[in-house]
Amino acid sequence: MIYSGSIVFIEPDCLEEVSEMLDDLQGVDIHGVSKDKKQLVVSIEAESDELLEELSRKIKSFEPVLDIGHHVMHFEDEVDNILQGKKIPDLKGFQRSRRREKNPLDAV
Amino acid sequence: MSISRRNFLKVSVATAAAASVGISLPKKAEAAGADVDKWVKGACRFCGTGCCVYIGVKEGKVIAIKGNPEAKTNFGFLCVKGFLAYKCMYHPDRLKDTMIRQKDGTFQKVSWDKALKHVTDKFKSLHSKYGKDAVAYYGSGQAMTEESYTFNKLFKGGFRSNMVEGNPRLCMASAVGGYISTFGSDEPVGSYADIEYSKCIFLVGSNTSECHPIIFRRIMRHKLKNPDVKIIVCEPRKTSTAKIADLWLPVDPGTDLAVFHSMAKVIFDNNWHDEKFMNENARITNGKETFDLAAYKEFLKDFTPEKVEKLTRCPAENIRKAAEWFATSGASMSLWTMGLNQRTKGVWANNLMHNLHLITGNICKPGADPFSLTGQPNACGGVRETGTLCHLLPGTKPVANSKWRAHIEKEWELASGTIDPKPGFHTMKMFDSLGGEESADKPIKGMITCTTNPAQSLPNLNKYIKGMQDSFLVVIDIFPTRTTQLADVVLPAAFIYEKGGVYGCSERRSQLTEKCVEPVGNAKPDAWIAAQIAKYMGLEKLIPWNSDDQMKNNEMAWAEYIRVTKDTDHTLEGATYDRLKREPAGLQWPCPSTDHPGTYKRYVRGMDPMFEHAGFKAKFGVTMPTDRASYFYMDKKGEGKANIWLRPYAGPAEAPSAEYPFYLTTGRVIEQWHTGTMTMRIPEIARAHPNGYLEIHPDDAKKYGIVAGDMVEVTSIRGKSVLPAVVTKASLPGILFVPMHDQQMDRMINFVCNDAVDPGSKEPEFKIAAVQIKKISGPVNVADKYIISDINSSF
Repeated sequence: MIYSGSIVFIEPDCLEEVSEMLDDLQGVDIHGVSKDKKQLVVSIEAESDELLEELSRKIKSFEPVLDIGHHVMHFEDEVDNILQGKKIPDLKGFQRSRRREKNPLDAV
Repeated sequence: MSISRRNFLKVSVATAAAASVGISLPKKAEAAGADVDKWVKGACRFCGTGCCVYIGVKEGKVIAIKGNPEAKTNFGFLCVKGFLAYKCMYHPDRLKDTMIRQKDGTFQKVSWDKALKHVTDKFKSLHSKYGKDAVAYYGSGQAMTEESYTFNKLFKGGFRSNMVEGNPRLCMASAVGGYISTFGSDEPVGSYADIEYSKCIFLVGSNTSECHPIIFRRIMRHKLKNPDVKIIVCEPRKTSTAKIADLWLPVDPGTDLAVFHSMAKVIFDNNWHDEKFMNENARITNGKETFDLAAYKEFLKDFTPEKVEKLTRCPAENIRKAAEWFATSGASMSLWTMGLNQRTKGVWANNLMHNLHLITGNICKPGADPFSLTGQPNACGGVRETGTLCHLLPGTKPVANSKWRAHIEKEWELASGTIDPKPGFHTMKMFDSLGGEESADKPIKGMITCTTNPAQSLPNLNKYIKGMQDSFLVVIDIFPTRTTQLADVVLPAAFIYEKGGVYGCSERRSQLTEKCVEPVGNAKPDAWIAAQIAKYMGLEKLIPWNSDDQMKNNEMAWAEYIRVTKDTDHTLEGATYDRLKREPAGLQWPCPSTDHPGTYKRYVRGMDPMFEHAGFKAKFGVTMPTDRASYFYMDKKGEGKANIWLRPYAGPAEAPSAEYPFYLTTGRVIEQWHTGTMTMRIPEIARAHPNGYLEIHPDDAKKYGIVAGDMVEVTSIRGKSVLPAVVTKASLPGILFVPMHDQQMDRMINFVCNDAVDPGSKEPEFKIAAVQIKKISGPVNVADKYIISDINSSF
C-alpha cells in the first residue's frame, strides 16, 4: 500500500463541488482546507503507484481542479514486498514511454 | 495492516503536506513523521531541476520520501520519478557483486580485491604498451560531484591523460559553448526564480511538461496566477508543453536559427530593441571583427518573416507576434534544452537565443534571462564545473590554459608539466578511437564508464559497438545494461541514497545528499571505486579519500574541489560540507564565503559577489569600472561586454531527400502514468504502446497506408529500427518522432541517429536525421516492457 500526502489546487468558489467529487473517490480523504478555500489537503491510499497515479489523474480531470501536487509518499509496504520477493517493481517510469493525450492544439 | 496504522499514516502524510503549504489541520497526527526513524535531507536523483527532498528511513530501509518545503527549486513538491526512486534502489536486478567476464563469455563473481587488481593490472599493462592515453574515462551527469572530480583528478593528474569525457557532451555541450562564446563563462546568468518575475516565457526545443515537470508546474502556476503572462513555444512537435502556450511556433527540425534571426529583424524594424543596453553591454561580432547596428540590420535583411516561413514552415504572423511579445513584455525569459543543443549548429542556436535577450535588454534584471535547462541532475555541478571533459580542468577552465594548468598542478601537488596541455578526444572521437589491442588504428584500448550506458545512448550505434566489444571495458553501474553486455568487468555501484554527495542543478545550485542507508549487496560508491583504483595503481597520495567512511571521503574530495576553484567565477568556497548540511535549500554559486547567501543573478552589481572578489580579480586580471550596473566580467576582451553573434543561417547536417524523405527527430517523453498536467489523456492508447513507437502525421500515414499500431521500419543511411506507428497531429507532416529510451534492440532508435557533431561543442545531432519508412506488417504486440535483467545476456 502507498500513501500520498497531496495538495489539490482548485478554482475559487468550487470547494463544495470539489469536496463532493473527492468524497466519491475510494482511497481519497480530505483532511483540511486553506483559508482562501483554494487548496485542499488530501491523503491518497492506493494499492500501487500506478493506481495512485490513476487516482491523481482522475482528480486532475475534474473541471474545477487546477492541479494536484504531491508532497510526501510513504511506501514501506511496497519496499517490504520487493525485498521479500513478493513483487518485482516495474521500472517503466524510468524508461520514458509515451503518455498519450489529446492535445487541444490539434484542433488549431 | 491494522486500521489504526492506516489512519495514522493517512493523517501523517496529510499533516506533512499541510505543513508544506502552511495549512493548519484541525486534527494533527501525534507524530507527523509518517512512521519513519529519521528524515535525511538530499536531492532528487532524476532530471536537472534539482528538487530537494527528505528521505524517510526506517530500520535501515528507505520507506518514504517528501519534498522540502524550504527548497527554492520545488517548494516541497515532487514529480513521480522522484517519488519512485525506491523502485530502483530495491529492484531485484540491482548489481550486487563484482564480476569478471570469463573466456566462455559469462561473468564470474569475484571479490573486490580481485576485481580491482584485475582492472588495475590491465590498465598498467595498457599504459605500458600503448602510452598514457590508452585508457579512457567516460562519466556522467548523474555521478556525484565528488565522483567526477575524483576520476578527473585520477586521469589528468595521475595518468597524465586527458582522455576524460562524459555524457553531458551528448546533451549540454552546445549550451556550454553558447554561454562561453556569448558571455565568456558557462552556466546561466539568472535562476528559476526569474520564472515568477517574467511577463513572457519563450520555451524553445524543450518539452518542459514531460522532461522538467516541476519547472513546468512553476511556469503553469505563474501563468494561472497571471493570465497576462505570454507563453510562446517553439518546437517541431505540438508537445504537451504547448497546452499552456498562447503561441506555437512550429518549425522544421534544425531550421529555427532563421526564426530567431527573423524575430530579431522584426524587433529592429519596430524599434523594440534596447539600444542603450546594447551599446553599454554588448558588441556585435562574427568572431573576427565587430560591427555597428546598421551592419547587423543589413545582415538580417533577408530574414523577413515571409521568407523564413518558406524555409521553416513557421507562419510569418506567429514570428511577428512572438517578436512583439518577447521584446515588449517588460521581462522575457527563455528556457531551452536538447532541441537547441543536440544539433550540428547547437552553439549557434544558443548564441541566437542570447542575441534576442541582449538586443532587447532582457537580461540582468528580474524575470529576464536566457536559461538552458539541464537534462541530468549533476551535468552542471558534476561535469561542467569540475571540468570532467577532455578539454577542461576544475573551474571550467581549458586544459590548454597554461596559467590554470599551473594552478591546478600546484593545488594537486604535482610536478610542473604533469598535466598534458593537449585536450583529449571528445566523446564521438573517443568511441571511434576505442578498440582491441590488435587494432592498430584504435589508440584507446581500455575504458571505464561510470553511471552511463553508451552502448545504448550513442548515436549511429553500429559504428561504435565493436570498439566497446573489442576493448577492455570496465562498467560501473547499478543495473545490467546494454553496456554491461559488452563489458569485461562489471563493478556494482551504490545508489545516491546509499552513498551521499553533492549535486549541482541547472540554476548553479549545489545541494548535499547525506548517506541514508547502506548499499545493497557488495555495491560500493563510485568515488570509493575511483580511490581504490588509484590506490592499487600507487596513486593513493593523489586520491587520499579511500577510507570505508564514504561521507568522510566525499567531504575530503569536496573540500579540495572548492579550495582548488575558490578564485574562479564559479566559486563555492563558502559552500562547505558543514554549511551544505545546514542549508535547507543548498547554495548557488558564486558563493565566495561562508557568510555569503549565494547568488541569484550574475553580472549585476549588488547581486554578484565577484564584483568585490579580490582573489578572482587578481587571478584572472579582471578590473571592473564602478559606473557599470552590469558587467560581463569574463569577457575575453576585458570590456565587460557580451557578444551578439552574426551567425549565418545553416540548416541541419542531413536534410530530407527523394530517397530519405522524412525528418526524424528523437526525444524524451515522460512515463505514461506520470502526474503532470494532462487533462485529456487517452490511457487506452498509452497502455497499447508502453514501449518505443513512431509518431507519424495522419497525412503521411495515409500516403504510406499506415494505420495505428502497424509496424514500420525507419531507415537512415546508418541503420534501421522497427516500431509500431502512432498516428497523431503532434508533429507536422514530414516529421517523425521516436522516443529514445527503449532497450529492445529492434526499437533502439540510436542505430538510426546521426553522429555528425557541432564543430564547436562536438555535440552530435541526435535531433535530426533524414529517413525513409516502410510498413512491415500490421499491428504486433510490442508491449513487452523490455529491460535487461540477466547480466549474462548477449548484446
